[in-house]
Amino acid sequence: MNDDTEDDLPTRLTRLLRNVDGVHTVYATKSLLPSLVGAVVEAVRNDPVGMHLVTVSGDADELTVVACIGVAADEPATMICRRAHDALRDYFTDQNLTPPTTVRVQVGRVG
Amino acid sequence: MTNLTPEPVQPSPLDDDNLDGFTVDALSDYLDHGRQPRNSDIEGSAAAQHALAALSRLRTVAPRIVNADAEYFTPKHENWITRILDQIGVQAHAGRDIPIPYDVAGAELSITEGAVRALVREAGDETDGLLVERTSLDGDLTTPGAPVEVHVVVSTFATTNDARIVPSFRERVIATVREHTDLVVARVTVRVHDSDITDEDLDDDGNLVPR
Repeated sequence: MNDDTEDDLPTRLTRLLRNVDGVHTVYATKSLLPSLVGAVVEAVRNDPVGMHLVTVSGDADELTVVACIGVAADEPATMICRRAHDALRDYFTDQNLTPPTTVRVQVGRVG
Repeated sequence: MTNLTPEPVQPSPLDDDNLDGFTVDALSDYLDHGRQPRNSDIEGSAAAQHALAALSRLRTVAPRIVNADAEYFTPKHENWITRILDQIGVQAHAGRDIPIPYDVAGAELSITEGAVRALVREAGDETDGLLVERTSLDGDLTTPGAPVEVHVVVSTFATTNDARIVPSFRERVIATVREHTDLVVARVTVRVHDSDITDEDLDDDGNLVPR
């Protein structure tokens, strides 16, 4: 799999979130019907379908990152949500990328 | 023997939007087939997951509730299951975004109203003899610090001691909402059929006070 393509940033962020303590699922942030088109694209690329669940939009100077997560119930959901946010923001810092202006993380399910 | 087969259910007009394009009927079929073959769109939808969890709980407890009632009273009206099934689609949708305050520039964190309703339902799942029918969160959920009220309607088994389990369930609701959200809960009301349990009905130890 080639991680160097521009389109792979959402994939990398999705993987990142899946490895955050307390996050058990990354849900699609767009309506599922439009995502069916994306799923076909992902299948052609041989990427696992459904990996592009985090949405990254806007210009390089004004990026918005949107994620919806399911979290475990054995810690406060608020704490895990903040942890997920920090992981996303730190990714851009660690990769020397312009940080996003907005990082939107929504908890869609607990437990 | 009580017939548990529900009448044909008209899908809630909200279902298609609320459940990311799925109906309660479609999710029920998916559950019938043991969630196989795996449908990544269903598994990737928080709303669909909430609905599946509610359907599973209903299937587990509904026969007990109906049979327990039948021993004491006339069987529950057959529309009872229909009504609960119809509520599942309404209750599972994401609803409003409840802010999670975080003092970092550009951070917009939230938990969905649907996730909080599911927490209340799961508090009911942990309470033997009780099934949460619906939960409503009243107030300005989108303004941090604004007081909100939680209203829950439950069904209980006819053999259940409401005076014992309802206060316990109510405490679970308060605890889980406090643990997982920053909501300022001003009031929690649990209604069992025609009875309301509120703060005024409980003593300092959380026991029910006779009216």
